[in-house]
Amino acid sequence: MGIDTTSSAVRDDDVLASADGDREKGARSPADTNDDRGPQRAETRSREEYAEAVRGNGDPDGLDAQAADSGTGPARDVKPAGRAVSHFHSEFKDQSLDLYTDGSRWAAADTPRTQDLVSEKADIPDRLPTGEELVDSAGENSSLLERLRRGVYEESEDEADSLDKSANLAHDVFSHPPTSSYEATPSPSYISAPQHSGIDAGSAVTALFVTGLVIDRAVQWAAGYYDKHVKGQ
Amino acid sequence: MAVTDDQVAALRALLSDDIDRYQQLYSGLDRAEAKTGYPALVTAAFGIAVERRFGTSYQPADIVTFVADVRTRSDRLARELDPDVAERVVQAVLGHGTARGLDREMVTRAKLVLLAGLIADARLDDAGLDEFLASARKLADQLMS
Repeated sequence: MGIDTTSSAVRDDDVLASADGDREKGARSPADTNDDRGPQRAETRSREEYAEAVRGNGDPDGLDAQAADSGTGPARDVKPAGRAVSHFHSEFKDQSLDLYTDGSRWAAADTPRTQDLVSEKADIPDRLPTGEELVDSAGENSSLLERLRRGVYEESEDEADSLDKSANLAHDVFSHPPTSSYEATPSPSYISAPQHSGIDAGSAVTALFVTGLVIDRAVQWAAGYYDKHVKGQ
Repeated sequence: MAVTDDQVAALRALLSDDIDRYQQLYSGLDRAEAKTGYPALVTAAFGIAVERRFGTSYQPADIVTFVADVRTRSDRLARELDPDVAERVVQAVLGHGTARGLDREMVTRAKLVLLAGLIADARLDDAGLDEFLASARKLADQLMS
């Protein structure tokens, strides 16, 4: 691509057609500028003309968009800083293109590329997260409201009835202390009160039987003792 | 439609283990309002309680232990609280997975029972319970908006 830079004002009628001149003519090829001067030439100036321009101005190119206005008089509106850029392609011939302000900026060749600015490589985890993990972690980072809406809350007219039915079940949670949770208060050791002594029918019959048996044995022993000792005398 | 004072009072009675007062207050709720406001209030309260209990630095085993502990508190709880559903509901609040697709009644039961378990374990005093319910009410209003 032929991009030519200009830096100084040059008055040179033989120079390539000025930007304004070209605009008036429409986009024309470089050779078109020599229509009035003979056959088309690939080079617009001869070596002698080029050398003369160097000697006279110190600028071998002699191309300045500002000076190209009329070819006479000093250059006007020369930007003190920065160099205008003229295009060498026939379609854009000598048009000043400010590549830094035209909206679609091109990176200058000397602009360090972003990858060159990184001083060291970022740490790459050994195992990249799976899709499922990414979805999960996204949920974890969302707000509680979003999580409830996405995962738990559903508007349903039956839910109020279900909640009422479950109220007694929830009551069980309070009625019975937690068994293993650290919040549980250890229950004090419980000593049961002695049972009230009472007698039932079975126990009464057993007692009567035992009592009768003991009395029977005692009577038999007494009778034997009497026979043995009293009658014996 | 927003959460009403009566709905908050009914839930407060339940979480204070005053079942008689709860039944009295719940039966007096406006049916139409209660169908939307009360479930949203319970869901919001459950969400806040889960987040306060487990926070961000929890292990899955903590959830399993908590659910198991609640289920051991009575035979009826062991029978009627599905541990899988209960754990998934807690996980969903913490941002892992969703409870959608599960049986709605089981999910609703798990929310209320686990909420009771979380509040029972937290041993909140009156002021703490009021503050908790105020936060839940605010979140419930946002949930319904």
